[in-house]
Amino acid sequence: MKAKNIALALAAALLVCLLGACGSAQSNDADLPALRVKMNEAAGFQNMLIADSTQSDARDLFAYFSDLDYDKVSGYFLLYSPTGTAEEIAVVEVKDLKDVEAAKASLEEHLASRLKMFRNYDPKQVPMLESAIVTASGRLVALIICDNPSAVRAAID
Amino acid sequence: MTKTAKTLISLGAGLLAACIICCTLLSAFTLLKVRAIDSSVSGTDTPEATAENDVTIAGSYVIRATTQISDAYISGDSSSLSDRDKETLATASSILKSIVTDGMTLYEKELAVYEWMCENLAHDNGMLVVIPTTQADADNPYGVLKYHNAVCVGYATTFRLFMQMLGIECKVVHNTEAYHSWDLVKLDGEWYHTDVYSDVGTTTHACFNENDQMRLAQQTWDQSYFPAATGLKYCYNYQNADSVSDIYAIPAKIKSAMDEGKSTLTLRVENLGSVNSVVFSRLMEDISNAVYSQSSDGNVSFGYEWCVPTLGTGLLSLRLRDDSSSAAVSEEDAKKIYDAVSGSFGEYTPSDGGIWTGCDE
Repeated sequence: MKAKNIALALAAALLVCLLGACGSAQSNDADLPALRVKMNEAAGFQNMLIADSTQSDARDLFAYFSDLDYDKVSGYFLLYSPTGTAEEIAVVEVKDLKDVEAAKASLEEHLASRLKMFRNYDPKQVPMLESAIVTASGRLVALIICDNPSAVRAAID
Repeated sequence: MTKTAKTLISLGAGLLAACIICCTLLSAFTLLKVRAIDSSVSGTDTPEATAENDVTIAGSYVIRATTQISDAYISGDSSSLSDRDKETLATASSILKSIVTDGMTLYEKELAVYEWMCENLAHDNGMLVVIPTTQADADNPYGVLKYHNAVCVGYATTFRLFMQMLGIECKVVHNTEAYHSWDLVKLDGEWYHTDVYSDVGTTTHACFNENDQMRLAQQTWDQSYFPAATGLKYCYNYQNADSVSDIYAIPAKIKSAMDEGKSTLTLRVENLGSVNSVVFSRLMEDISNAVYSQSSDGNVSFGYEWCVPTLGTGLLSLRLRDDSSSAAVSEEDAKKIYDAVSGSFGEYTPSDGGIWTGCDE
């Protein structure tokens, strides 16, 4: 009986460990509005437009800068210039850690398309795009295009 | 150990093994998917075959054929056109009637259309915004002629429409990255590049009837698909440029142009001979330094494009501007502006500080 109980306890403990290991570390969701404010301030942006996951057309807006499956997204925000200059900050929080690399790839693809655009239409903006950063921290993935991307990255790390 | 314990331990081990296999398969799948994304980003996917029409530029703007409109113009029968196309035809016809006469050569007609478009249309810079704010139909003749606002595709397809209405063979070209488009026009059996978008708002004719060598200074495109542009007979800048005997005559021409208040200058530089690019670059750098050093407050702009349209001859297109007095507003005008704005919004600090109004007190 005692051996049976020990075996049952071991099996239960093993099951709990397995479930924990195969799942993704679902830490609490980030405070995206606060992060947006922090990054905007670090970048020194003025009068940027905002698109984020709280808007009714959030899924459609997301597609303008990422081709990641929106069902994998926990939340996002986008800061972008209304006058067509290159400054931009995009932050995507994925639901699952395993989707971080795909999210990074999608933002890198967006950056590449912005580079092509400005090489053709406003080459003065190209240096800023060439020094842009795509970075990840936990389930957060960010594209930072501004004069001081390293300083802005510190806000997400 | 009892039989039950052995059973439970075996079950646990089986569960552990199953979980490890599942995690391994999931990781492999994710790796393959990321590699697929990487492949797509790096452009290793098979590229689409080049075409003139039904090509998407800058991810959003589509080049579409408009031969149904030009055919209707030529035949005089617009009955099969949609209402939109009929409106486009009416507007385009009216414009041609006002700028083109029967006595003009095909080149003169082309020039008239190009100059009308440069003077009357504007860039739609909404295409540069991450979530674009371009005007509706900025990429086709209907919207371009109705709203006078266009992206490059709008300029290219509208120019092509006009050319086809005039019976001039014309193609819309897009660059290798599919981010810009312009036109190829055929005159007297030879093709020429015309990029109205790049010249709009200027009077330089910098991109009017270029040959391939001139266009290659700015763009690349599928030259195996689009016809070669080798003519110079109708190349506006080449034919109308001031000729200089060699590169060392350039500084005097630039100085003279600036003294005369000119904002642009095009020079055809003969006898390039063995002059290499390092020597030329050094010459232009020294000219630039001299221009800026002679400006009392540094408010000048100096830029240029250089190409070699034909062996031994270079084409130098210069942009010259002295900005030192361009933004000045008279005190009388400044006061009128202040009175009008403050009358509506209350006291404020004008752009120039408002010393003359006492606002700085």
